[in-house]
Amino acid sequence: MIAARDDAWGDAWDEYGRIWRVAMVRPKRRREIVAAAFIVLAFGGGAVVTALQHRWEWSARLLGAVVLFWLLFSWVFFMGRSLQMNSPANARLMPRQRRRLVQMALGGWLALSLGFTAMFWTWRMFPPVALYALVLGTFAASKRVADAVFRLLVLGALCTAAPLLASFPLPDALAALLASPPAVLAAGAAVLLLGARHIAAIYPDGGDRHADARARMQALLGSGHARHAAAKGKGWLSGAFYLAALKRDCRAPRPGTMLMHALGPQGHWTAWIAGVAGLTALYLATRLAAYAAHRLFGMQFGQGFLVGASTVALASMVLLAAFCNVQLGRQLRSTRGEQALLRLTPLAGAAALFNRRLAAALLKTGLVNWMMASAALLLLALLFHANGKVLVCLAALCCAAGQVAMARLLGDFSRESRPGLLESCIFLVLILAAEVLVAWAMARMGGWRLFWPGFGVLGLAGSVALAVRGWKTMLAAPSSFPAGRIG
Amino acid sequence: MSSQAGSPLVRMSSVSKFFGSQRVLDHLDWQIRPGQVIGLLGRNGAGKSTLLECMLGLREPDGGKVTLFDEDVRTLSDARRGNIGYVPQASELFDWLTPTQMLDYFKAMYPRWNAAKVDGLLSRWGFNDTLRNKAINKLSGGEQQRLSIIRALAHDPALLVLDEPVSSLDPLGRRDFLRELVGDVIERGTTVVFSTHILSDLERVAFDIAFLKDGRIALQGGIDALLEGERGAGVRAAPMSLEDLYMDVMGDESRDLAHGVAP
Repeated sequence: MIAARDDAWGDAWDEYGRIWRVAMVRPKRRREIVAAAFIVLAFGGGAVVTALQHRWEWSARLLGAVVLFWLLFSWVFFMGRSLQMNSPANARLMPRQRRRLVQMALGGWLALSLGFTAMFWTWRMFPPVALYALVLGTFAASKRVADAVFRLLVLGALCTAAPLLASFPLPDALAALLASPPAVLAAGAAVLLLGARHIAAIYPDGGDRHADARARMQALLGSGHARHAAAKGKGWLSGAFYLAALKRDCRAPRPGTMLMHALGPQGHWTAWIAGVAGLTALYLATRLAAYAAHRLFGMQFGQGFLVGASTVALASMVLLAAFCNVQLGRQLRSTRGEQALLRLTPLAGAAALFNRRLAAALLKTGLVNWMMASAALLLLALLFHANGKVLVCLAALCCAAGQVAMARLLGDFSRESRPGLLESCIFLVLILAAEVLVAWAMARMGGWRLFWPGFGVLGLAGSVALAVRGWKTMLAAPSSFPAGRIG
Repeated sequence: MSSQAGSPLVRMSSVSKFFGSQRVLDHLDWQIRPGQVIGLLGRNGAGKSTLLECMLGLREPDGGKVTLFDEDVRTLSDARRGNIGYVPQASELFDWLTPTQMLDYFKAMYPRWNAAKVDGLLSRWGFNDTLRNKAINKLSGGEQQRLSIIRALAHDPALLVLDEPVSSLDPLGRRDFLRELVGDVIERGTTVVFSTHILSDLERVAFDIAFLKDGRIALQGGIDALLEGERGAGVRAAPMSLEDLYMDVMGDESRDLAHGVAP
C-alpha cells in the first residue's frame, strides 16, 4: 500500500517536472537574464546596504524579495504557457495534464501569496497580495490587453483601495471593522475561493464542452484564433466609436489616420475612450458613495480618503497609459499582414514620408490617450475637492506618466530587435529615480515647495526628450511596415 | 508566350535572404516580363512566400537588388504601388471589419477603383447581403480567400502577385477563380505571378513555370516547352507530365515521397 502510494507520488512529481520543463522552454533567454540582473541589483543591493547598517530584519526581507520576485517571474511565465498547453486535443488525449496544470498554477499562486505576505510581516496583507498575484498571472496570460484591460483595472483599483481604505481615517467603527481579524479572515477566504474558481475556469476541462469553454476563455484572454474582436460587437462601446471614426476617415482619407486602421481597433485611439470613461465613472461613483454616506449616516471622510482615492485614480490612469503603449506594440506585431497590404497602397507614400506619417499618427494617439487620462484624473481630483498642493502633485505625476506613454511609442519598428518591454521598464524606472533625485536636490536647495513642480518639469522634459528621440529614430529607419521584417 | 517583349517588369538580381543561419534565397536572379503569367513551384519551406515578399519590398533582402517597373522596390512611387495587386497566403486580414467595411477602406486608399467589378465579383462569388455585413473573422477560410482575391483585383493592377491563392478554395471556388483570372485578368495583359501546389490549376492558367530550389530559380520556361522536354541551352529530355517534371526538378527525394518510397 505504501509502495503504491510512493509510486503515485513519484508519477505525480515526474508529471509536474515534465510539464514544468515543457512550459518553461524559452528560445531567447535575454529577457530572463535582464530581469534576473535587475531583481538581484535592486533587492540584493538593498539587502547589502541594510546589512551594512545592521538592520538584519530588512536585509532578510530584501533577500527574500529576490527569491520571491524570481518565483513570481517564473510563475507568470508558466501561466501564459500552461494555458496554451491546455488545448482541446491535449485535454482529451493527455490524461491528468489539465489537473496537474491547475494544481501547479494554484500551488504557485498560493506559495507566492504566502511568501509575499510573510515578507510584509503581517497576515492582514494576505487578501490584497493574493488578489494582486492573481491579477498579474491572468494579465500575463492575456494576449489582447484592451479587452481585459478595463476589467483588470477595476479589479486592480479595488485591490489597491482595500489596504488604502483600511489605513485612511474612515469612521472609527468602519475602520475597526475592516481591519478586524474576522473581516480579514473573511476577505482571505473569499479571495482563496475566487482564485481557485478563477484558475479552474481558465483551464477548461476536457470533453465535449471543452471547445465552448475554451472559446469563452479565449474571448476573455485573447489567446485564441480570433486576433481581434470584431468591431461590430454588441455592447462594445469602443467598437462603435471605432466604426464611426473609420467611416469618417474613409469619406475624407488622410494618410496618417488611414495608417492607424491597419493596427486594428485595439491600436486605435478610440479603444481607450471606454477605459477612461469607465474609470471616471467608477471614481465619480466613489465620490457619490462618500457623499451619500455622509448624508445618510453622518460619516465624515477625511482628506486622507480623498488623497487615497485620487492616488488609486492616478495609479489606474498611469496603468492605462502604459497599457496603451504596450497594446500599440502588440498590435504592431500582430497585424503584419494588414501592414503589408497597406504598405502596397498608393496612399502610404515613400518610406521616409510613410514613417513620418506613421510617427505623427502614433504620437497623436499617444498624446490623446495621455491627455485624456491626465484630464480625467485632474477633473476627478477637482471633484474630490483636492486642494492646490494635491493638484500640483497630481499634475507633476501626470507629467512623469507622460514618459510611460512616450517610452516605446516611436522607434525603428522595421527591426525585430527593438528593445524589449522589460528593458524599457527598467530604463523608465532608472529615469524616474534620477528625476526624483534631482527634484529632491532642488528641494533641498530651494525649499520643499519646489519638489513637485520640479519633478513635473523634469517629467515633462523627459517625455519630450523620449518623443524626440523616438521621432528621430523612426525617421531615419527603413519603412516601418510590415513591422519587424528585418533581423 | 513565355518570351514577352519589353524590359522586365520585375528584376531580382543576386537576392539573398537569411533567417538566422538558414539561407532561404541564395543569390537569386529572376526576371519577369510584362504580360507573363508565371506559376512559381517549390517544396514546402522552399522560400516561395519569402521570394514574393522580397519581390514586393515587404521583406528586406540581406543582399541583392529588386526593381519593379524599373524602380527600386524600396523607393517605389505611389503610382507604381497603385499598379500592384497582392493576395497574401494569410487571408484572415482586417478580420475585425466586415467585407463591405474592408473594401470601403481600400477603396479610399486607391485613386482607381473598379466598383462595378467588385460588385460583380461579390455577387458571382456568393457574397450576399448577409455575408457582406458579417465580420471577416466569422467567414470561412474559402470566403476569406475569395474576398482577399476580390480586394487584390479591385484596382485593376498591372502586376498581380498571388501567394497560394486557391489553397482554401473548394473545386467550384477554384474554377470560378481561374475563370476570372483567365477571362479577365490575363486577357487584359496583366502580369501574374502565383505560387501554388495544385499542378492541374497551373496547367490551365500559367504560360510559364519557375521552380524554386535551394534558394534559386532552378528552372524556368514555357510550360508547353518544358513538358515537351525542352530544358534550355539545347538540352532536351523526354516529354513528361507536369507532376513528373516537378519530381524531376525537385530531386529524387520528392519522387520517392510521392511514390510512397521511404527516403
